[in-house]
Amino acid sequence: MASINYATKEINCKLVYYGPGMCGKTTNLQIIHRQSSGGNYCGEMVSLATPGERTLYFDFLPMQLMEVRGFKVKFGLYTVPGQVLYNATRKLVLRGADGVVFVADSQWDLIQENIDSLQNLRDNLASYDIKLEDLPYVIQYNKRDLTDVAPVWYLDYLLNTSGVPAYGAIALEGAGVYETLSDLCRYVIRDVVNRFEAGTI
Amino acid sequence: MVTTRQHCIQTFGIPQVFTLGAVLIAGACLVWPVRLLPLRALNSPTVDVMLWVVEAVLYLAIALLFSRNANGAFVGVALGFIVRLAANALIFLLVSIPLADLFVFGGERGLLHALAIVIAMLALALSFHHLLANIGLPQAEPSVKNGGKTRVAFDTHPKPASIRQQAPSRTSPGRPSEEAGETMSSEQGTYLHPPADFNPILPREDVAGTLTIQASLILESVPEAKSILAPNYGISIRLACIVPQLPRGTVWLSWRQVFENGVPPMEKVDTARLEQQFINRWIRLSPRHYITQVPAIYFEKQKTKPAWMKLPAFEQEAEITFES
Repeated sequence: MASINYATKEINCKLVYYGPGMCGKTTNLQIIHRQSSGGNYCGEMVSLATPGERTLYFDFLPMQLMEVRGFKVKFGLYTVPGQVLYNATRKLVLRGADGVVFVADSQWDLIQENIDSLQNLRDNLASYDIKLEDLPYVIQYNKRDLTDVAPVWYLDYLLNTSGVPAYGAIALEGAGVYETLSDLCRYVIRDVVNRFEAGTI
Repeated sequence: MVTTRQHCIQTFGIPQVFTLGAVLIAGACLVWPVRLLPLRALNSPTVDVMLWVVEAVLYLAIALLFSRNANGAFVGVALGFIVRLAANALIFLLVSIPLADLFVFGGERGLLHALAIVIAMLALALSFHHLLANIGLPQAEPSVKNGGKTRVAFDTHPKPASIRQQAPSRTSPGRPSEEAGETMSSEQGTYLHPPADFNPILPREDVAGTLTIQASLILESVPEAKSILAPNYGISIRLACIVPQLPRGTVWLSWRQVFENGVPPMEKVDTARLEQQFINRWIRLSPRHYITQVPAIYFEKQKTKPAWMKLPAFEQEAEITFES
């Protein structure tokens, strides 16, 4: 849940990139970090990974956007380790999330991993008494440049049960990365503003 | 256990009860015409025993036709006798013959017994065929067989995968075998089977049509079947079996669901006999092999947008840009 610091006039939001192992969550953050090196809205990226570049704990990238009603909006971008083994870490990282990007791997061979990972996301949120549909989330169908990929309409049928925004992406080339992030940021800020006005934050 | 019970309820439901009722009523209506037939003297105990045996063989044949396994056959015989005795009792009550004569075939009773046998056979064929067809089917609780003889209970809790540190590749080779316990290959001496939480779904009766896949896809799940299946065969599968599983992505079919009418015959090979060893095997179909053949209507879903998508935009929304 977003935290508001009235003294410093800041709103801090947490966005989590979730998905099966090797689907491109860390690549999304790396692209955002790399391409924003000339801008001033990204901080340093923290990454705890194995030598094989598998995320061991999480990646973290702080960002600062604009001011909304006099408050600076800051985002912390996190990824989770996708491997089945690290569910406790995923659950911990997911705690207090304000928005989620579900990164799906478009390859035919990984359809089942995507379904399992989405179910795992639902289960982990349920352990915090949160329904996935109550949290702003978007879906990114990554690796669209590979040849052996499932059509987007079919991935949508399997994964996008609520008709949330979904994007095709080639994270390595940066395609679809910003569209995914900017739309999620919009929905998260709308949600935060709404809750702020309703007095639930 | 719960799953098995639910499965039985699904295979013998209200339609089957109605069919059974209709068969019994039709049989009852035939009691009086049958009594008018010329009587046959069947008073020998030897003939009695022979008739019992013939009756058992008839039930066995019907049950085997639908179940194609020994368990189903025995259940079918038991069901046949139960229905026959119940029908017999009803008939005897209708025509005021003492129930003590239920096991005697002589005289007029012989014809009434024959009528009850016909009723039991019809009941097996019309009301119990779904039940018989599902006896012996692999159930939700998985077990791994090796070598075809020894049963080994399979640990349903996924074991932690060992972390292999390797250079990242964008094209992943598929599911890690440790994950769901479902990718045990026959090459390792074990059979492919659905994941632990797999819940078998019955074919949808309102879905018609078939799709065709190459037999080579079936051989990927049951490689030993190459002795009775040529890889280039086109195998027709009922859409009714596929459609209920669409939301799962990967479809799991039992051998019997794929080969409802038996394996296509091969020259010089006794396919029917060899097929028996694969009767309890599972076949996994990746969606890439079937989705283009499934009509679009079955992929339609009613989607309700979440409340947060309907919230109004805020003033500075257009300022959200990440270009450096």
